[in-house]
Amino acid sequence: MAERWRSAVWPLAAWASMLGALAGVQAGFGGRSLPVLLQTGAAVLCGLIALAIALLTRIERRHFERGRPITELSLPTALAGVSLASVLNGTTVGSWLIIGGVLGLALSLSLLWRGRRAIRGRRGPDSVEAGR
Amino acid sequence: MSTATPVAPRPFDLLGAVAGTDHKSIARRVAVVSFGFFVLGGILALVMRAQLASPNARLVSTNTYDELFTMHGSTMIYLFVVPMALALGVYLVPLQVGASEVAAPRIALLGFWLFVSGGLTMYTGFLTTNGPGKAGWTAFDPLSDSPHAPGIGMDFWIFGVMLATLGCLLLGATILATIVAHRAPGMTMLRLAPFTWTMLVTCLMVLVAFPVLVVALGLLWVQRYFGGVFSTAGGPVAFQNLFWFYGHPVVYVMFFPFVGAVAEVVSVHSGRRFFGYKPFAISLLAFTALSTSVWAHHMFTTGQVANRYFALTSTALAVPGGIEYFDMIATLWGGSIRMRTAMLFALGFLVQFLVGGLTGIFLASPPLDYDVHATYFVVGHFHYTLLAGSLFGFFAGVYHWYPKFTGVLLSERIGRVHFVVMAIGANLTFFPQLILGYDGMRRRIANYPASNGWQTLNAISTVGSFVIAASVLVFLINVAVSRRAARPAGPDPWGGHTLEWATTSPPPRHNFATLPPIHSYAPLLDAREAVERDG
Repeated sequence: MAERWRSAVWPLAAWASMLGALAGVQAGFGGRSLPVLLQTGAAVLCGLIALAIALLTRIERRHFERGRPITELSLPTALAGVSLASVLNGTTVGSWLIIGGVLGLALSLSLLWRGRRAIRGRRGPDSVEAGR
Repeated sequence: MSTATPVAPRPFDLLGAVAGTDHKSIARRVAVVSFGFFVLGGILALVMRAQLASPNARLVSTNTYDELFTMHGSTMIYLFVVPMALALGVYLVPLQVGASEVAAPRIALLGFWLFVSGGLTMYTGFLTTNGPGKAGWTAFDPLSDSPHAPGIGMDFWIFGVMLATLGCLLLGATILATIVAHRAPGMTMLRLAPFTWTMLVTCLMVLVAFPVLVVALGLLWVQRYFGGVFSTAGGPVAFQNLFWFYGHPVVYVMFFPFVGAVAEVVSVHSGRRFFGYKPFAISLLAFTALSTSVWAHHMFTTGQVANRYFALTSTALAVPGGIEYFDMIATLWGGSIRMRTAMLFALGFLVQFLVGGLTGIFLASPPLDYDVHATYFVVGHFHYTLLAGSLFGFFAGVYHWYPKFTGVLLSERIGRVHFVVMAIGANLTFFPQLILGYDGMRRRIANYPASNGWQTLNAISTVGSFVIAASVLVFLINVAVSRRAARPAGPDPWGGHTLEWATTSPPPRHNFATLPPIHSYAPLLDAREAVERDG
């Protein structure tokens, strides 16, 4: 598993380096601060993702050795998506929609939390992905 | 003709359709909803083309026309091509890397619901007093500011795009995490299928570019209600920088997955291993880095960006693009080419995207861009890349993988009709637009005077757009006929190379019972070659 993760780092690191180099070239061509900053930010973000992948190797190995519990249906997740949209639209439509959205979000998060605890307590996820 | 028993249709599962976390089910739902938006966006385009068929037409008002082109562009980009490209990835990437599930199924499900909510929010604008967004799919400030785009329809547009983009960001993140962390034993990065490689680079761009759009639109909303964000000197150019930092990479988000689809189609349907696999993978990385470095070629005429740098990077795109073309043509060379519908669409993609790419070279050059900026030349160019290019790549993928998705084969005969009608329609519609733009016809105009002599070319373009609509109808007929006939496809109807063909069609819940040994990007081809070698 560790090898699998490490091998995924190089394309991201290569891409981050290319972006960083191109940001340098842009600065050399007299690029203004915002465009150079945007491109440098992209390079840094991608570099950080590559670094995170490299550092997370150990955690993922444990995860896989256990086998991963998978939830077959997740109504709270669907509710969370719609609730987020309600909160956002509520800023224009009216506070009633924001309140409805916040309540929906609270409900969905509490249900997701309960589901997570149930899985941790081995009270039976819907299915388990085989560990490799 | 096949005499096999027809495949029984699966019963509709409402709860699964709302909350199911199987990556295949999520991908199907994203695909169906985004195809629905494609039809809606297409209808808007037909109304626009009907308006432009003759000079001084009065089919719709100028205000309505603004709404139509805004919603058409927004629908096609935010609600159709991007989510459809990601839907292909959500379905196929776990299968191609040998995973039993996508990395974070609930995040993918959340992405689906944010995307659906975004689309519905955007279209809610039609129900408001002032209508939906009307500042173009780019929503440049000050056009999108409250004095120029009053009413909550524009707000709905902003929120709709934010939600859809967030949804797509989550879908992209799950695909990337699947590639990074859920590859089967033996599946190294240089054994990924070509399509998975294209999804990897696509998701990298999604990850760095999409959050910038969400932030830019959030700032735009603040500007509309409180001001002070983009109303300062240089504010509108700052918004353009933020927008195009998303807006150009997204062009490649709408391109790379279909390059991957075409690469697989070309390889499988010519019975050859993909030529130049490693250069293809490396060129994709270079292509993606350059793609994230060309955005300001949309802003040459502002005089506020480093034109020489962005001209250089935009022109340099021809190099990795050329490598990919070379690889695909070299794969065809000497292969036993089977002219199935998927291959026809793949070849259509290669030829027509080339027109889009070559016209793009004009636009990458500041002196030429100053001449044709904001004309129908630009409209023709990006429709050659998006419709005549990506959509053909999409249909190549659909005809190739439909048997895997559904377990049944599409009709080849109707598929060929679909290809011919769509190819005629695409070229009838968009080639005249290149000439019109060169002749000076501005984009986003609802009318033009008869004295300009643009009527004939506009009429041809309008006829072409209805031919495209007819071709989509032919495709839908094909789906309906094939569903009815339900000819079973079997696990591997084409002699596929990659892992998705090693399982049943459609695949079971956790994708694979067993996996073949993986020694290259094409484990199934390896196995067949080993059998032939060993007699």
